[in-house]
Amino acid sequence: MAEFAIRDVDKVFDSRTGPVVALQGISLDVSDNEFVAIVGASGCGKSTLLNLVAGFEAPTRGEVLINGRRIAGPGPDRGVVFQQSALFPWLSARENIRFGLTLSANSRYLKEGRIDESRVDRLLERVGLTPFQHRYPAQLSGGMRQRAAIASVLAIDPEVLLMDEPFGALDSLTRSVMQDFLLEILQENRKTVLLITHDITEAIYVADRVAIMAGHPGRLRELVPVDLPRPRLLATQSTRRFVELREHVISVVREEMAARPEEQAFDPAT
Amino acid sequence: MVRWFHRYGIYLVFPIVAIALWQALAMAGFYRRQVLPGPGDVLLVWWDLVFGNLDLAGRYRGSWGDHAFASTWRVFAGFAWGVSLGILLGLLIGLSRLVEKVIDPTIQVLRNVPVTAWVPLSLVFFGIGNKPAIFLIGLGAFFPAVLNTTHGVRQVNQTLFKAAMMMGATRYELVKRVILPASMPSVMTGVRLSMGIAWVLVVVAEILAVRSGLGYLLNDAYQFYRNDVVMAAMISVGVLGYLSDRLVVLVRDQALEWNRLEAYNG
Repeated sequence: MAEFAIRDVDKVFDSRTGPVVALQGISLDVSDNEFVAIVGASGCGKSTLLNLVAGFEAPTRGEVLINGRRIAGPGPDRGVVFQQSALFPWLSARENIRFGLTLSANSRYLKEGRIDESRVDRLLERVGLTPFQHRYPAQLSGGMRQRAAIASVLAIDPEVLLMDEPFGALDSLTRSVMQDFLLEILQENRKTVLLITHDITEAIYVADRVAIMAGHPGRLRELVPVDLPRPRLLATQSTRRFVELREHVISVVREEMAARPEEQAFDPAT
Repeated sequence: MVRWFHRYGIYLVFPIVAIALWQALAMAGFYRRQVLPGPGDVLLVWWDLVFGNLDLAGRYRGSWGDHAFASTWRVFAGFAWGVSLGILLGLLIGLSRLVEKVIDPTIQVLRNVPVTAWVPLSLVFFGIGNKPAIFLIGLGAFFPAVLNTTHGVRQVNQTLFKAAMMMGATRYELVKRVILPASMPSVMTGVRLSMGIAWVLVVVAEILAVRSGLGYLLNDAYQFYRNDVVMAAMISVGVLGYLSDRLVVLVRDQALEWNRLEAYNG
């Protein structure tokens, strides 16, 4: 059971040229087991918004609440999947998935004081990495690395899953396979999800609601409910309703980009 | 045959050419043999230095083992304290802004003082013997270790940091489970540089501060106009330094297999 709320949040960064307003007046309620995807042009503050929920950043104004409590910092109740897989290069795939379980904060998963290896085995099996469990990240493909990263987050069973362009670095074929993989995983193990993506097809395919952001300063432009039935399959992407939603979201994003052509080159995220 | 050459023979080409040029220069007669001995002369005197059964190295016959052992022992003793202290301080400087502010400026100034400039003071304080030698070698080994360790701690990938914090890692767990392993490649680069500097300084120290070791042998033979022994001592230092470096690389590659894979991938 996890819901979170972003309440009238501003985020201002100090830069050499003065303060930069990254987010302004953002409010968003995400209910339990809901999947919200955020889309928007580069530099519109999508990642900053995710960092606020993750607790890596604190809002300048307003508040971010999880189950009614104010978020004070990062914690294992909110698992983050990063774009560049955050696997520890000195640990094998298996050791990476075990990593969270070895931390004192997650001792509740210990069985008689020891790490539950069968839990690790199940996760490896689920993400299809059992034959590759002893390989280092450098010896895995991009898709395998991202599956290992997802498994390492699922190992500590967070209530909220925060994903920051998790499939952005993958080729389009692998990406589409990973989207189905993510939907299957969530089918088995419901979670509240916030996904940042620049891929509008991906956003509509996986989410219950798509939040469209506009940049400079970052604002929430529109919330689009995705009224497509689940389970969603590849064929869903060819349905009339999917195409309508996609065209609508693209037109809003493009309208926003056209209104501010001079800012397309500016990306505070990088 | 061709494959054998590409795999192994290629390494021998340049050394053979260099030795042949040396031989040609020695035989050309521009210098007396005593001034510029040929590679064959040096090899034979080296044999006599090691085994003492050719009657070529005069009063140095058979002394190579003792000198080589003395130098190697000093290198590793100085290396051990210099590198240990360097890594420890490097970690503290990298981890704590306070320690950085207190200690780092001093280190940055001191590292510009050549270690040879420490020779007079170290002789005054430690006298002639092993102590000043081990002090100087350790001092030289200290700086690459401290600088590279600090750098290693600083350049830890921020995403790995975030990932560990997100999973609930405590400060102690962050240091032990993320910062330490992530900084190891850089630490090992420092250790390797330290080993190289230690072999440079052992020769300096033995010329100035001790009466044994390959540096002492080299300087003593120079005083007695035995350039063949000087050259044999020089090559000995080169070979032992090379073997020490291989040892460090071997340890590094065993301990940091993941890093080799990363480098190969990147």
